[in-house]
Amino acid sequence: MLGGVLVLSACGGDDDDDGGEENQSGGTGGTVTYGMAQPFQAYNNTTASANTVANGQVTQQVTSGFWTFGNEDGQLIENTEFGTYERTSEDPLTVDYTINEEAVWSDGESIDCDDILLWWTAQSGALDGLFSAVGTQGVEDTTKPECEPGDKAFQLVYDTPFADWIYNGPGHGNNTMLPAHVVAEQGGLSSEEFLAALRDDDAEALQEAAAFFNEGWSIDGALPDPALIPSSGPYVITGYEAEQSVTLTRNENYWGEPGAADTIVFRTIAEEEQVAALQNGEVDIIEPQPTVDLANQITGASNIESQVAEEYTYEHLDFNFNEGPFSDSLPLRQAFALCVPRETLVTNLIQPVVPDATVKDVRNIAPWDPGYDIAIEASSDSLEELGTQDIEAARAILEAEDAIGTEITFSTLDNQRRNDAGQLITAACEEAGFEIEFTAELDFFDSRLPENRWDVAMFAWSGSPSVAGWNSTYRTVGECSPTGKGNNNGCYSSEAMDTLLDEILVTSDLDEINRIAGEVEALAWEDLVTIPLYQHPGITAWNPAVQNVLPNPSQNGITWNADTWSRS
Amino acid sequence: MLAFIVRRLFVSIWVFLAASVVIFFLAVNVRDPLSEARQLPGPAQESAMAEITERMHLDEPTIVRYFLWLADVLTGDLGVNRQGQDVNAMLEGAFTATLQLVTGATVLAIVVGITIGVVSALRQYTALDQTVTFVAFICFSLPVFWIGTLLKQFLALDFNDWLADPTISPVFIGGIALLTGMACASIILGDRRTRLISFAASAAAMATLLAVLSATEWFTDPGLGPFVVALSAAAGAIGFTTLVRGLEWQRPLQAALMTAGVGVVAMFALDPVLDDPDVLTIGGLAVLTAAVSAGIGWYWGGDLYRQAAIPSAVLTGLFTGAVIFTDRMLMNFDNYSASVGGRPISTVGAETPNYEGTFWESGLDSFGHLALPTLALVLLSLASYTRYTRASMLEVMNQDYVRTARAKGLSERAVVTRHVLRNGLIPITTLVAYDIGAILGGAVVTEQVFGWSAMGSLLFTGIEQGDPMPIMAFFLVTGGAVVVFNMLADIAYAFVDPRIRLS
Repeated sequence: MLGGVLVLSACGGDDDDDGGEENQSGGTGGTVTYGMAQPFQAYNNTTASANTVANGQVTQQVTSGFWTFGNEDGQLIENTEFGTYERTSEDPLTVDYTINEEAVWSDGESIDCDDILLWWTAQSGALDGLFSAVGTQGVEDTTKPECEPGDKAFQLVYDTPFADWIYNGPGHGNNTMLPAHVVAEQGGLSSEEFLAALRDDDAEALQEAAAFFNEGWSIDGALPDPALIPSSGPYVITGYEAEQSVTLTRNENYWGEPGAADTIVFRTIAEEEQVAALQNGEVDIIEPQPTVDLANQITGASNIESQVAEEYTYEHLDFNFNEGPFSDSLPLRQAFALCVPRETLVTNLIQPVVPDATVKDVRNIAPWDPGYDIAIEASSDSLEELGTQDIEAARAILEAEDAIGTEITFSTLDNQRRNDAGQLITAACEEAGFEIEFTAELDFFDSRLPENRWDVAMFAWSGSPSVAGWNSTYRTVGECSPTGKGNNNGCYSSEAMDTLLDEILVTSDLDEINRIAGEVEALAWEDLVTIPLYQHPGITAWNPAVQNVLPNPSQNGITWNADTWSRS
Repeated sequence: MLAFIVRRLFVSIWVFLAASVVIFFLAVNVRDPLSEARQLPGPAQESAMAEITERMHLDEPTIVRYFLWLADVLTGDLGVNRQGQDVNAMLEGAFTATLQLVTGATVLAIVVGITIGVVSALRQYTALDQTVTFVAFICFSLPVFWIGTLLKQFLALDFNDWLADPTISPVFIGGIALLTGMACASIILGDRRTRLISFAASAAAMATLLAVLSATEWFTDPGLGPFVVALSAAAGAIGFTTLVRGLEWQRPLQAALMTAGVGVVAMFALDPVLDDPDVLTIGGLAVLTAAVSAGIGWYWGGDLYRQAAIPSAVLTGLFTGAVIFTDRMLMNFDNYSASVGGRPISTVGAETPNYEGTFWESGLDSFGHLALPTLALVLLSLASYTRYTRASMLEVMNQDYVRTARAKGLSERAVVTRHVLRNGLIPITTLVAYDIGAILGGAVVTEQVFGWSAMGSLLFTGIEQGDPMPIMAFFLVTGGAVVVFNMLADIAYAFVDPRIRLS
């Protein structure tokens, strides 16, 4: 469900055209070191407060599930080592999950019914959200699975059809299965009592267990007792130095293909320092946010391999539909769309890093996603009319509307690339006849964006192949307030759009999903809800001595296949 | 004295309290601690905000929060940060890291800075003096992140690359030899001929040394060997005796040489102990060395020369120990280098993750990680020490009593060490004391550049998250250190300068 929820700001990896099939290398795989900017802070990455990219990258190899994002196109990969799942009925939508018979936690405890029920209780927000979750979309519409102690199979039966059902079971990262036997013990319950409490919705009995689930797995200065952090994946966490490094070693009790490297070390290194550390052999793989300088530094270095590509995260302009000149004037929004120099932004800001980057023409679907061509086709009329910068046409519209000199507040987060983009857009649109006040602030996300003190806002969404993630972005909001508007920052509202969004959520056929997604794009262009600008560039660099480094554009980033990394 | 300390402490406490109020109010208002929570989706936002509000008492007025903090601090509890982590534990970690990072750098900067300052004062307006001034000011004015980048490029990346094939190019040998020769020539006093000879001799010696080291590939498997250790020990004995008392009398020199001899013998005798010692053994050996050396000085110096023989012998003994220590480190260098892929100098972090090795190898690991940040810090603070020392030495050298001392026929060594240096260093004590206080605050930028997480990042993260608890913990340590060390400076003043009366 939340494998691909839309979150503010940027994170992720990149894609390209390396070989798709990873080959397992047996024997001793040495130590592979990955440098990441943020520190590892929690074993449980599924709670609202602990969900970070860094935690997800570490736990990706430690707690496994039925699926993950990966490969060079960032699409879903089923993890058949963990188990299998299939849709057994369309009405009601029913998905059968079967965990591998041999699947055990690294302490020998079988992965079975209690883990399933704990996962469902937390992810569905049952018991009034007693167990914290990042989000409950999808799972909240399923009936609680039934299972007996020791059962390794369960069924998710949906009340309503759900488009993203394939992303909705236990996966890796922020919706993974956690060890119920540890939670039970820390909650002062026996396994039987814990299971009974979960089955009977006995919130009272689960208080202490939930407190541990929500807070007890955060890492304060040192690793918790190894018994508290078992593994269900190829690696187990064995070492930790505060603010310095986390060490994973091969899980000897893993039933599937063993990890290739003996040890994987995640070192915390600020992005600016990563290239020197890579050149000096202190880390083997880095994936910093690329700037032009950094890309030059990496491509200029002699002994490292690197790859640049676009990521799922994309930059866009939002219009304020609640108040201000754009709120009820489509012509003004069209004039603005016509004056924005989308090609220049890509040429000046993105191509120095990713030479073959192109202008982004649709919002929610990345160029490598299956539905991309359909969406482009559906939006072709609008793209014909508004897709290319035309200052003359923009000026003509403003003159016809008697709106030359309309004052606009154009806001974004203060960083180098957005400042540069802001200057380019401001200059072009002032030429067309807008009066623009451009603000780039560090607390853009804290105050200006939620409080709607802007007419046009520029920021990024991070995406994924799932469709539920971007659904709330265009959905009519209950109240246009900082807390009420959710992801729909401009408070756009359209009945036609709401209908489409409802429809796509309850569609489970992939071709049908792509068709509706195309219609959403067409409508978003027609109403000019937002203006897509470009995919964020990504860069990965690594030591050539390390095998199987396969960049992908998903939020998992480069660590998606860390279990196959090895050093020659 | 006691009255002075009490009075001073009393005043300091009030100053400190007032400062803590100011800092607390600034820390509370530096940034909105809820800003990240506001970006969370739906119900997660509400619960996260409620949790932080309760944890940080955001619903109380600032003054109430201050007194809550103060009450906790008086019981030794520094509170929790925004994520609920224990600030006491964070402070402990940060403080340890800072001590590791800045202790060596501070000591080095003081010793090297003062030495260079003294030399450049004694050779005022020579080429050496001008060069030192020039270089010191360049280092002083470079931004640390840039020094950091340069050091990483040249001393980590390039140096490590070079170690793979450690031959020194003739041009490089020539350059180093030339510089050495020039430095020696400008230190030596005398006529043109003497200086030319010293230039030629030192340049030739350096060139030969480098050529031999290069040809024998000494750098892949370095070490000093017993002969060089013995030679260094003897040279140390002569040097320290000269510094302490001059060579006019035999006994102190003999005591020092004897100590050096005992040290070299001990090197062979203790060989098994030194294979893989621990920190305690090394510390114990250092204490033992000092005691034995003092014993030799006391016995051989006799009643007459004891006063000079004991310090000469102790300094020589410790120096010999340090040389043996260095030799051991160097002997383990090839093992260590191989264990880190032939790249011993690191650019980030405090240690190689999961590194396991002997005492010497772990020591080299720390050294490899400390080398660059220490050098950066030393280069930055060198300028102030050399300039202050030079200025104050020159001032003292022009005093009447120095002329009197020369007029009554004291040797130049005695004039400089007894009369000029002692008085010249008085103002430096203030500088040193103040610097130690300030340096505990960490080196925020240096830490960032070299990937250390110490006092600087405690403050930095606190500010970033609008979280007053880490900021106040930082303030308690650094503010406290400034107050205490300033007081210590005043007390030290009274010791080194008897004219000053504290009460």
